[in-house]
Amino acid sequence: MQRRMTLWAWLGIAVALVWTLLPIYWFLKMSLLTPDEIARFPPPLIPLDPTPAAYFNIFGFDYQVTPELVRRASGQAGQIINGLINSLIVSIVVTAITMLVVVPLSYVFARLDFRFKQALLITILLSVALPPVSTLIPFYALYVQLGLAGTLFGLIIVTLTITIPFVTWMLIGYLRNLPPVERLARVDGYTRFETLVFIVIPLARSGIAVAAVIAFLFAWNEYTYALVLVNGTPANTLATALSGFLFQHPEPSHLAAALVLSILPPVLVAYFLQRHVAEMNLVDPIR
Amino acid sequence: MAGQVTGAGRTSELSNLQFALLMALPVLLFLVLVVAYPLGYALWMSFQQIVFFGGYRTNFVGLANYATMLGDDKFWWSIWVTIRFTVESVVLAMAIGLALALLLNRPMRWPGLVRTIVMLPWCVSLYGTGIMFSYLATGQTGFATAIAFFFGADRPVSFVNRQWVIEVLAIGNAWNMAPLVAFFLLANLKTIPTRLYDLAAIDRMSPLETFWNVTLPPLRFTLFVFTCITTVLSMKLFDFIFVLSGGGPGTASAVMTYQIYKISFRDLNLGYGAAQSFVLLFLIVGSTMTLYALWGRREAER
Amino acid sequence: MAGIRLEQLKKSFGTFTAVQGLDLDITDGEFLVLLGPSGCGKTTTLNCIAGLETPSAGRILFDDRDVTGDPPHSRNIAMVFQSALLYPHMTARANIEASLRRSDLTPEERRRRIDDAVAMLEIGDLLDKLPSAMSGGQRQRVATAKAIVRQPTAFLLDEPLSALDAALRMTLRAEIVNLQKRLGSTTVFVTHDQVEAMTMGDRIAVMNGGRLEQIGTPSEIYERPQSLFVAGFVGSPPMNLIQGEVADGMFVAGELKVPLAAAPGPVTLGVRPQHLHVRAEGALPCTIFALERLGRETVLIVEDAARNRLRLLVDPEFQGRVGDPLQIAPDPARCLLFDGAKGLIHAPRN
Repeated sequence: MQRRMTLWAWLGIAVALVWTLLPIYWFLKMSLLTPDEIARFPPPLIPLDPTPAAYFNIFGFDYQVTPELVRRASGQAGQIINGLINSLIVSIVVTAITMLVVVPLSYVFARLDFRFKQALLITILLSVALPPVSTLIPFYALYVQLGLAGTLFGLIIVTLTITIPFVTWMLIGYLRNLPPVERLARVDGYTRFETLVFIVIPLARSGIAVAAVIAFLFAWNEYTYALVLVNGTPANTLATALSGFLFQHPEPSHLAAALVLSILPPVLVAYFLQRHVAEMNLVDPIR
Repeated sequence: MAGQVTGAGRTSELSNLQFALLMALPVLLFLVLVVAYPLGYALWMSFQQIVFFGGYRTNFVGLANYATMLGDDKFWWSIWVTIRFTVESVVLAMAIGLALALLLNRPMRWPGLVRTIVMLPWCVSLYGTGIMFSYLATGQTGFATAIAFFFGADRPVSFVNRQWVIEVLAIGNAWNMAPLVAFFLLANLKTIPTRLYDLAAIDRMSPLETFWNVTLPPLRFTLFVFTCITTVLSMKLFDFIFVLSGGGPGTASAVMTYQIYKISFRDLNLGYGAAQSFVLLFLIVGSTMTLYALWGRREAER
Repeated sequence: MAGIRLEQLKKSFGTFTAVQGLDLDITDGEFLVLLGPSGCGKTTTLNCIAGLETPSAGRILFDDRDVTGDPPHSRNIAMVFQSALLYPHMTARANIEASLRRSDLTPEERRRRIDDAVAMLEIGDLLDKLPSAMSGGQRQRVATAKAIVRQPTAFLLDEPLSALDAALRMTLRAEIVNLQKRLGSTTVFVTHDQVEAMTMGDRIAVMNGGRLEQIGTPSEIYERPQSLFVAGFVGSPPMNLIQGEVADGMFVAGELKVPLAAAPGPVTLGVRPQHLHVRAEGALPCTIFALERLGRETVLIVEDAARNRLRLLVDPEFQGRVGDPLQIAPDPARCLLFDGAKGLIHAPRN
């Protein structure tokens, strides 16, 4: 490997950054534009007179741009704040339950041999392939009967069906690469359960942390189920609040600001993820 | 198998199977319930005609819903759109993901910052990506228009049209998925010993030969896995398309998921929607199995 | 401390039988080495003694107490695993303490035992380090300390030195034997390295294909290997094995003739390199294939007309070059004869 950065490497990084940042920049720019600038055609490449007004507006505050000009709070502010809180609740609860369930599950599949292992594993992995559009109606029908439609609890249950299979599959690969500490633990008299809690989990903490973060991302970004199950109810999430925005032809800067807001928690998450990149080496979970 | 005991007494420890069941059974039950129930329900619906107007009732119509599909042009069109969108998405996501991984694996200044930025799109939700790309690619607000005017053009440049909407969708989808691919490929790249690159340098391999003989072999399994995953994710993708193009213009981007959504929720033809969703499920499972038969089996045997 | 007895021990994994009907008696305080190539069943045997694997059939007795079904911990054994496995996320101290977590010792007794072990192995400065911050030899010492604090019925060591470099292996070999003699504890040591086996064991049990080939002191194994397998496996450089026939009180293989009193028939002659000598004439004509100068002696590798390779030890002053012709002959008083089925059929009286 070359130690020195060549021109090509610089160019490659530049292209990668532009590719990644352009869509985000375009929205960040939009969130900072004044209404006149947004209405202007052609759209400006950079905001000439950037203002954070939209960010105040979507939280329900007026913003004094000039003594004469006040940008009014968004009518959607209640939904945005409500959605933000709901999204946080759903994502945190889903992440917690997912990890509670997935760590023992993937540990068992990664480190033990037992009958029916392959069949069970394939069942779990197959559920990754289910398209949400096919299960929407059955879920909706069930939820209406059980009174779960429009509740956070109902949304949490459905979201778990997305996070559990994927995170299980991911952690199996990671756990399989741990050294064979179980034998040591058996000689020291740890029970199976103690081995998992006191040895394996502390040992695998960085991999488990990455898995938790990925579960959080899935939950935070879930939209299809939320659209049908909680849209327009008090249990709406940030995703549905945002799309509510979209279809009501809102102030574009408000939409952009809300979207930028929805990216912020995952950005912190991305910073965390990249530090643990070396941990995530996949193996074939079936073998 | 481990855990068998014959004759001479048994251990007081749990056997592997017992412990595995104890740990896994509750989750498996949950998953089976929340997966098997909707599947069974959808299967039942696909054999019914479900009527809402004039009181809810269902009639058993056998395979009629499936038969209707054969003569439904929109259905065949949606399959073609789905395939086009999926193939473009997967090729783009894998190529860009691999390129990003190779780039990130080089020694560079501020690696943490660059990696964080490159990982960003993965953290943006699909509906968010949809909103972004719709603004980015439409004429009125688009980036292309801004650039074109900067260079003196006088008409908006839009890509959300019948000709290019699928490509816009595929690019947006790839933008979102590529970091996921890159992340796992990078983890893989980190396991390649530097010695191998030294060896390749001693053998005077060209950069292309080095890539082919040193870098690629350990990535092949992950590449296969993610080809499968991106295929599955693309085929079942709904929210992104719903937000970006709403299946339009016209039916230009009406993929199967959109078609099913429209039939079920707009036309309220639940039986027909369920029948189509089974076709989609079979296409998804079928395409991953095809990938496995053509490619994965070879990789797994390595 | 205790003696260990295996009775008809059998272990299979699915259709593969790893150990088939093993009988073994390990006396109290003995250092027994289980020696064999990889896949011979030696590690499986050790795992059965430890309780990590449950035998498919047979019994394991510690001092006449049947422990076959007991979990590892209640057998009170201590084990050192391949490449001195430790909990990677725990310091040396926590690793050692984990050995005593299920014991009902008083805190003072605990501390005393740990202090003793730490002093004995001179690892005081490692106690707060993580395994990843230690060298291979240091990890080995910590793993040993972790084993001895338990004052176990038996020490079980599974190729603990295999990942270390040669010089360190030599140092630790002596240290382990010294420690074992001081503690007087029953020890089972698994290895595929016959030098380790010869230098460390009170007795060696040679295993092959899930069966016990021979058990005996190192000199018994070396001087009177009971089978062709043992003859070929133990000794460095290895024993020369020459296929031929006995007729009229004479072993004949091509041009090689050795006077030996044995029953006529096809046999294999075994002779150690030090008992094969260069002769002026009237012996087997060979050419030199290679010379390995070890300083104290030189290993001469020669090829006969049929391209069979033979090794012999010669003086360090021996002059010769690759391709030179010479004649060699074995010392008839030092030759062994093997029959493929019956094993050793002729050995010198001593």
